Amino acid sequence: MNPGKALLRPDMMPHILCPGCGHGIVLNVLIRVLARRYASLDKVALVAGIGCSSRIVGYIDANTLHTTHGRALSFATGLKLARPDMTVIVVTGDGDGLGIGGNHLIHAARRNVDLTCILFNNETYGMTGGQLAPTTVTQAYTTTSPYGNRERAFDAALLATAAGATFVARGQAFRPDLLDDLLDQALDHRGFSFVDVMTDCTEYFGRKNALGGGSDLLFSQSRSDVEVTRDLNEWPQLQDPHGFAIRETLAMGVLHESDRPTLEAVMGLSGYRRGEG
Amino acid sequence: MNDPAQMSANLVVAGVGGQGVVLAGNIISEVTLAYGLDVKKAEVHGMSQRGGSVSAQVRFGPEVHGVLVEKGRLDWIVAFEWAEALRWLPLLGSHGSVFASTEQVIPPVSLRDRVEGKVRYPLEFTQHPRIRAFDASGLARQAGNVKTAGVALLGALSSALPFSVEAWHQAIKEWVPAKAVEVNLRAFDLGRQWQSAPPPRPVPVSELVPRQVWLSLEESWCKGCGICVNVCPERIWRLNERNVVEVQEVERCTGCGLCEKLCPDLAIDVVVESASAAAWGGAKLWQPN
Amino acid sequence: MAAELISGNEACARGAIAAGLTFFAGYPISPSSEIAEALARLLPANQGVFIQMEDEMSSLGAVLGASLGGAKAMTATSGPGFTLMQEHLGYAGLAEIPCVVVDVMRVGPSTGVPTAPSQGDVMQARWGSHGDRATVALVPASVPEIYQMTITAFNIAERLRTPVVLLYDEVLAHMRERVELQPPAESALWERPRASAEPGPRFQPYAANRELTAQLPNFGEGYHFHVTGLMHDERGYPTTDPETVRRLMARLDGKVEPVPGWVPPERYRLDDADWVFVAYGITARVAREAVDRLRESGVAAGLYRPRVLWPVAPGQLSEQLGRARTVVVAEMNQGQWADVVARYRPATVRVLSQGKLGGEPFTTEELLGLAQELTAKGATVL
Repeated sequence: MNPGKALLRPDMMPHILCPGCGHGIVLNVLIRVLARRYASLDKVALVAGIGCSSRIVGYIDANTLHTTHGRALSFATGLKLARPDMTVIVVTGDGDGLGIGGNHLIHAARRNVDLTCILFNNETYGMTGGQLAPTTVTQAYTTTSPYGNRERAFDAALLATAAGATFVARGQAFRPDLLDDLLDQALDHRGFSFVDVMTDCTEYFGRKNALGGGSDLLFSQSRSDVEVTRDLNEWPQLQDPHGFAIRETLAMGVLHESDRPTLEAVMGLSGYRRGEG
Repeated sequence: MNDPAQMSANLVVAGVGGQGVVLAGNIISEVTLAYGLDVKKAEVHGMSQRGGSVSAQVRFGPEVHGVLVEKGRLDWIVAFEWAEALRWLPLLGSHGSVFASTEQVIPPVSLRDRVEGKVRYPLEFTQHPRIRAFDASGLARQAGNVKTAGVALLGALSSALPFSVEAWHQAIKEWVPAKAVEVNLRAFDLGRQWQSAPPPRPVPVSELVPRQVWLSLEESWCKGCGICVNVCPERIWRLNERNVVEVQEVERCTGCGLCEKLCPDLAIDVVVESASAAAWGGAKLWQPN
Repeated sequence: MAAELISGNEACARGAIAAGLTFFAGYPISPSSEIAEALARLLPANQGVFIQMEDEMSSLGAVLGASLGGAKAMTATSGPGFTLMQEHLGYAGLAEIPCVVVDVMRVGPSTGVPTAPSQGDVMQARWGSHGDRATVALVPASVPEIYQMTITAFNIAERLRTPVVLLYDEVLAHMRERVELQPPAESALWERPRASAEPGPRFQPYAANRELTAQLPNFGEGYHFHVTGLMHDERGYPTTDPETVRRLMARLDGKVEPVPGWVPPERYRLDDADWVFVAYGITARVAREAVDRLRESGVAAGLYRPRVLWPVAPGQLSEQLGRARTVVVAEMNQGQWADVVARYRPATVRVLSQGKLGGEPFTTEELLGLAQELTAKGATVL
């Protein structure tokens, strides 16, 4: 059983996500991790932007904040600096966090505020109907790339690393135990931790690219004999009927970790206890 | 202990893809060869990708003919994963033993070669008193690399066999990559020590074997995506005419928890022994026994 | 209290500190940057947090996050930045998060004339955010009043859990005046309402008190609740029910209604005035002098100076202007507040809009010239 279910707001369930949506699996893992780590969520805040991913904070009975499109990290920065005693977790999507909110992501990473940012990466704008995202792989079809995506996708983890995040990891909905471990490590980390989570949009991205239903998409994340290691793993290739690679090869696991004082510590904020400065 | 040169036995190494099952079988075979024994080894890893079911049957003795172990003739099961141990129980002889890792590996990808769901777990065998389980992964981590869990299990197995430590070490050196020799030897020794030392807490079989499983489904949350249907190694879920999942043949549930962890709707709970059914009032419950 | 010579922007920063400001986030923009500069110096020394964000959207975002954590929080900007903050102003209004936003107005649209004064953000303060929303905008006219009104802005923001916009122009921002700053007594500082119910599954953060204000606790106080920019019910959960939405909107409108009563307008020689200037901010200072000069020449002139531009109290406005015959609304824009006056004027009052663009404040001579021109054209009075 998942002890995290006790943390759900029963009146809000069932959630709004589509059948087979990978985001639900990430929520499943996240509440499990929260239940294991925190006896009470009194001092835990979950801050989200706008989009399918960002809706999930509303299902967790904590201090939850559903903000504007792309700006979750700015709200979280303010909250954390005002309340350094709290644990602040940011839930964002690829469009939210890398498109409209990309600027906030790089600056949050640069500042190294003690936040944990979980980016649900399904390579598309789901809530608005499956449009091209900054993470859509080249040539993939979306409702706004009917001839295939002409652009190149962001590597969110590389971006966060370059911007100065002190913990960067990538997991996938398909490997809940790995994701569990990565979220745990990210929450352990002092400083800005960033977890890029590959999930699936079955209704739009899956359908547009003829990738099948929830199970098919989920299993497509697994086409690899390569073991997930701490350092590197191949993300599987999946061909669509037209022969291009839907899934780019991406590294999995903890991709970057470094030690740098947090902004709270540098500012000498009282009440900032984790790690005692 | 028996004279190693006259020893004959049947064993199976079982696990999932990526755990080193074939390698372990090779090491055991190598050891028996060092004592001049005849050895036959059969591997099943056809379609298994990472996480798929893999096994290696090893038969050795002064003279061995058939390659496959017959029902009731299996002496040892070395299981890297729980559900895989259960799979082999029907073949275990009355004096047979199981060395198993207590870690439950969630093998999401294993499922493709399990889809037929033909395996039935005979409950009577799960009560077998000679199941010995320990945290092989923990020992492996202690040795320095979690991937050496299988070799740690071999260490445990080795204490039940009459072959010398040196022979085991030699076989390990021959089969593992040069840079991994040291960590594997450490894991082997730790596994062997575990077996020779009394276990810190004798674990009753009933606790180890996840038979007391309840499955609970919050029907109103299920959106019928079918992930559990496809992901269950035993194929116990199906979508009914209302496009909501329900359980068939619940007794085949091993409690691996895969459906629970991969359910995007958070509708499934797999409760292994810890909670009473009463705690799940309201939700649909299945109880295998 | 020692006399000091300080600028409007410094008075704003000092007022914020006096009001108990503990968090400021901002992004540099002329002519407001001195507020950020002053608070970067003052806040850390007063156990507060100053942070310069990457843009105006994140500045107000950080302010709202901090406010939810319990901080008294503020940002300051100018027209272009104010435009970028509009989405979060709407959010703060709907989610009922106290904050103060200072907009030091400069000539627009777009980059306009940096950084000449203007009063062109009046309607932006009212309707800049999409959708209908309740708005509170205060408009000071002197350096000492900037200090006092910054404190008032926090009081209203906290008490009604709403964003409060403080509007003044570049001239006031950089003008230095002699002030004797009187820090407010503890009792003069209003606090946000405290949750009256216990934490628990039935807790309703958006259940209103008698002042129609939600009683959200701060984050981290043991209450678990949801804050969203979606229309929500009293539990804070999203809703699309039209009746619930209407009720919420009506409550948000209703709760700011008392504000004009709390911050009454200045009535200068208004009691017997036939000829009335309506002016606010820097323009009111000039109009005041014009009133004196007109009185010297025998004209019954007066000044109505609103301190609150939004919300409008229609009753107050029509009552105050009731005796006048001619009302001239002078403002450094194309007549943004003149429309409001025209809308609520008594039937007997003629309202003329006198706007001025180009980045120069009105002069007394201009207003007097205007009076003469109107007389020459045969305005009934004067």
